[in-house]
Amino acid sequence: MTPLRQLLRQPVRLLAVFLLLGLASAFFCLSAGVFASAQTTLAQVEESYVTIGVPTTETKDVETQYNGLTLHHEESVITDEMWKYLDGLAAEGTIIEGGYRQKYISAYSSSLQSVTSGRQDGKYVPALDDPYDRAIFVVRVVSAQVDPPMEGTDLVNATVTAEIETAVKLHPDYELRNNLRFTVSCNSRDELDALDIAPGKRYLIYSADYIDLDLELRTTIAGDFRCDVSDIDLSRLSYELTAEEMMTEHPDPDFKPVAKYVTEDKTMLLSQKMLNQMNACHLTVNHFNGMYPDDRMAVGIDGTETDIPLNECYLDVYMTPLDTELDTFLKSDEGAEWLEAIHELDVQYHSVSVIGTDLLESMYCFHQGEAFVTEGRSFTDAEYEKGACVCLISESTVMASRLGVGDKIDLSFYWGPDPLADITAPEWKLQPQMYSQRAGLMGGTQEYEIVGVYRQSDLWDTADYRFLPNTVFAPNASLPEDCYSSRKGVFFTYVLQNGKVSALQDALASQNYPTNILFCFDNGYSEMAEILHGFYRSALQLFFAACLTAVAALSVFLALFVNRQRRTLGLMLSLGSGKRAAIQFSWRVAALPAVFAATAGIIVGILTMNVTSRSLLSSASEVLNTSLSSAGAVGFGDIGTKSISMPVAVIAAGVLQMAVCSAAAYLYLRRLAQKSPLDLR
Amino acid sequence: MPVLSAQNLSYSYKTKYQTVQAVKDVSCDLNAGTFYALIGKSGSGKTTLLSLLAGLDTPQSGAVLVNGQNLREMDVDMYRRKQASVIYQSYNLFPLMTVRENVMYPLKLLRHSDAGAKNEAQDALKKVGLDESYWKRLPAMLSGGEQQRVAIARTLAVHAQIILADEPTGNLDTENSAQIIGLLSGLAHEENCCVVVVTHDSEAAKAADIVFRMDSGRLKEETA
Ligand SMILES: Nc1ncnc2c1ncn2[C@@H]1O[C@H](COP(=O)(O)OP(=O)(O)O)[C@@H](O)[C@H]1O
Ligand SMILES: [Mg+2]
Repeated sequence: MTPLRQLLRQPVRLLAVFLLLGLASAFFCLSAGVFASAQTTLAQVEESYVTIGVPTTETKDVETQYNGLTLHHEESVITDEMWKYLDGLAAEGTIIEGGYRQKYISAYSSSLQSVTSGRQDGKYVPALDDPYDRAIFVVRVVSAQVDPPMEGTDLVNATVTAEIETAVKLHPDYELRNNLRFTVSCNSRDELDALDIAPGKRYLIYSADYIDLDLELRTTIAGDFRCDVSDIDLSRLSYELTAEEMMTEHPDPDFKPVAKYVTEDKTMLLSQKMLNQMNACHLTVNHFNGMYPDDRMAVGIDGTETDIPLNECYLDVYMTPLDTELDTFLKSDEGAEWLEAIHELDVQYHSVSVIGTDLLESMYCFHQGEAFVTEGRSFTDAEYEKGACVCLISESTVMASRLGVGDKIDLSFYWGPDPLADITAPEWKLQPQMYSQRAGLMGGTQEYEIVGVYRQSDLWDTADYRFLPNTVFAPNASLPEDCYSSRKGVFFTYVLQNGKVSALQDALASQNYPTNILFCFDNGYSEMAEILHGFYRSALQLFFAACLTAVAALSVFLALFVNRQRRTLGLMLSLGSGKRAAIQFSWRVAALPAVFAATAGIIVGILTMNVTSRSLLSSASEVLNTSLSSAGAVGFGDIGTKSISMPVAVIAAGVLQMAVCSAAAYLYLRRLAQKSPLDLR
Repeated sequence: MPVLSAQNLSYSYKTKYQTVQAVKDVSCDLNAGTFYALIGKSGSGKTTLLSLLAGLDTPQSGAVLVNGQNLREMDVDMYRRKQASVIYQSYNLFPLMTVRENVMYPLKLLRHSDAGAKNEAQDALKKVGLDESYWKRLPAMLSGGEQQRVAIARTLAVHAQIILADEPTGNLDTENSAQIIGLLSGLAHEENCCVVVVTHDSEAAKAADIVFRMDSGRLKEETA
C-alpha cells in the first residue's frame, strides 16, 4: 500500500489540495523570482553604472603686473581652492567616490604597428601624425635657394626641390611622391655652406614632418565634395575656366583660380599653389644636434634637470652628401650614426602612447560610449588592483599589427628627449613621444596580454577628452613610476556616487563656486534607478502578498488535509504499527501533494516570471523603452533590454515552500501521534 | 491461568479544569474461550477500561497481566499486533484501503509475505461470510454490518487471543447485530479466544458467558 496509491484513491481531494498548494506555490515562486530579479537588477545597476564629473577645461584670462608691464595668461577656471574642496569631497566619499587619474608614457613594441591619419580614410591631418612622419630619403637636388636670414637667430634655412631616389625609411601608411620640396634648417651659415647644395647632387636626408601634399589636396577636395578621398580622380581637372569663374570671389584675396575640379553637380576652383601639390610631398630637415645652447640640460618627466646636454639627446644626422652607393656609405664610419637613425625610426614607427587607468569607464569617451570595447573585455577590479600586465588596443592598431585578443606583446617604455616641453606645448596631441636613440628605452621590457579591442566613433578627433588610435590602455599600477599626468581632459575625472549629481551641485553652490566646473554624466542612471526602485517596491509588495498567501495555504493544508490523516494514524497505532511507521506513512501521504505542488509552482514560476517582471517594469515606467535602451554605454547593454532573470530564486522558493509544508505536516502528525489512539478517532 | 487479568486498575483523565476518575480500582480475571459482556451507563468508564486492557493507555496504578506477564514490561506494539485486537463501534477500517488490504494490514506488520497475507486474509474474510466480490471494495462501499465483519476478519487473520470490542453493534440493526454477536461468540467458543464486548444491547448481554457492569468507574460481576 504505497502513499501514492492512497492518494490516487481520493482524486478529488488530491486535486483540491494540489490546486490550493500549487497556486500558492506558483504565486510564491513567481514573486520570489520577480523579487530576486528586482533586487539583482538594482544591485547590478548600482554596480555597473558609473556617474562621472569631468572637470571643465575652460580657462580665463589672468592679468599680472611684472616690472610695470601688464602680462596676460590663461588659467583654468577651477582654482586651487576649488580643487582642494573637490578633493575633500572625494576623500570624504559620500558625494564623490574618488578622483581617477590617468597616466601617460610612450612605449615601443616590435609587434605593434602604429597607424596614421595618412591612411586614406579621408581624415588626413599631417599635424596629427607627429612623430610617425619622420623619414629618411636619398634625394637628388633639382634646385635650391637660401632663404632670407631670420632676425635674432643664427639659424639659416634653405628651400630645396628634389627628386626622391630611395625612401630609406618612411612610415608604411604613406605613399611615396615624385616631387619633394623641403626646407633644411642649419644651425649656422657655415653648416649650410659645408653642405654645398647644388642641382644634380645626391644627399641622404633625415627629416621630420613628412607631408603627402597630394593626399592633402585630395582630402581638401573630398572635404568640399563630401565624398571619399579614394573617389577623387585628379585626371578630371580642367584648366579651361570661364570668365565668370576667373572673377569668383574667394575668402583669400590672393587666391587666383587656374583650374577646376568638376563633377556633375559641383565645381571647385583650384589655385596654382594647390596644383603644385599634385604628386608632391614636403619635408622639414632640422639639425637638432647643435640647435640648443650647450648649457641647456635635458629635463626628465619629473621636472628635474639631468646632467645630459639636450644637444646630445639627438643623433648628429640631418643631411649629408652621398657620393657612393647607400649601402657602402652605411658601412663606412660616417654611416654608423645614420644606421642608428634608421633604427630610431624603426622604433618610432612601432611606438604607441600608453594610458594607465584605474577605471576605464571613468574616462569620458568610454563612459559615454564614444569609445567602447568591441572584442574581448575591459579590465577587472583585480587587474586594476594588482597592476596586471593586460591591455586594450584600438581596432586600427590591432588590424595594422595583425594581432588579436589573447595575443601577447612586449612593451618597452621610453621618454623623448624633452618630454615636458613637448607635452605642455599647446599643439601636443596624445601621440607617443619622439623616440631618441640617444635617450634610448627604459630598462625592463614588460609582456602585456591584449584582453580587449576598442573602437572610437571618431579616430582623429583631438578634443581634450579624446585619444588617438595609437593609444594602448593598461591598468595604472602596471606602468612605471615615471609617468605624466595632469588634471586636464583625458587625464582626470571624478567618479561620483550614483545619484549624487544634484547633491554635488548643491555642495558647490553652498561654497559659492560655479556649479558647471564639473560636467556630470550618469548615463541615465537616475531615471533608471527611479524605475527600478518602483519595480523593486512592486516586487516587494507582490512577494509579501505571496508570503501571506503561502502561509494561509499552509494552514488550510494542515487543517483540511494533514489533519484528515488523524484517523488513519490512530488506527495504525491501535493496530500496533508503532509510532514511527504510522507517522511516516501518514506524512508521505500528506507531503506528496506538497512536493507535486511546489514542483508545479516552480515550473509555472519560471515560465511566467519574465513576463511578470517586464510588466511590473513597464508599469513602473511609461518611458521604459526610451530610458532603458538609452543606457547603452560600455557593458551596460543587458540591463538596458531586460531585468535579470533569476530562475534560481524561483527554484529556491519552491524548495523552501516544499520544505516548509513537509516539515509542518511532519510536526503536526508527530504531535497527533503523541495522543492516545482513542483520541484520534 | 487467566489470559488477561486486571489488578487494581485506576485511571483518571486530567484536564485543565478537572480530574475525572474514569476507572477506580478495577480487578478481574478474563479467561480464554469465554465471551464477556461489559455493560453500564454512558460515562461509567467502559471504554477507558477497554483501552487499558488493549494497551492503548497505561493505568496510573495497578497492572494488566497478559498470560501472567505485566503489560508494562512487554512490547506494547507487538501486543497490539499479535495478541489483542480492538474493534470499535465505527471507523475500524482504513478508508483508502480495500477490504482485503485492510485485513492484510496487521499481517504485513507481522512481516507475512504478500502472497501468504493475501491467502490468510481471504480465508478470514470467507469465515465472516464475505466472498470475493467484496475483497476489492473500499470500506465506504460496504454496509455497517459488513464493515464490522471485515474488522472481525482482521482479528481472525492474526489469530488474536484477546478481542476487545467497544459497542461493535452500536450502529447496527437487530439482524446485523445478531450476526456480529454470533461471530464474536463463535470466536470465543470455537477459536478459544477471550472476547470482551462493551454493549448496551441486551441481546448481546444475553449471549455472554459472564456479564460485568461498570458503575462510576467500578466493576462488578452481574449474577444472573
Ligand atoms: N479524553 C478524555 N478526557 C477527559 N475525560 C474523558 C476522556 N475520555 C473519557 N472521559 C471521561 O471519563 C469518563 C469515562 O468515560 P468512558 O470510558 O468513555 O465511558 P463509557 O465508555 O462508559 O461511556 C467519563 O466521565 C468521560 O467524560
Ligand atoms: Mg464508551
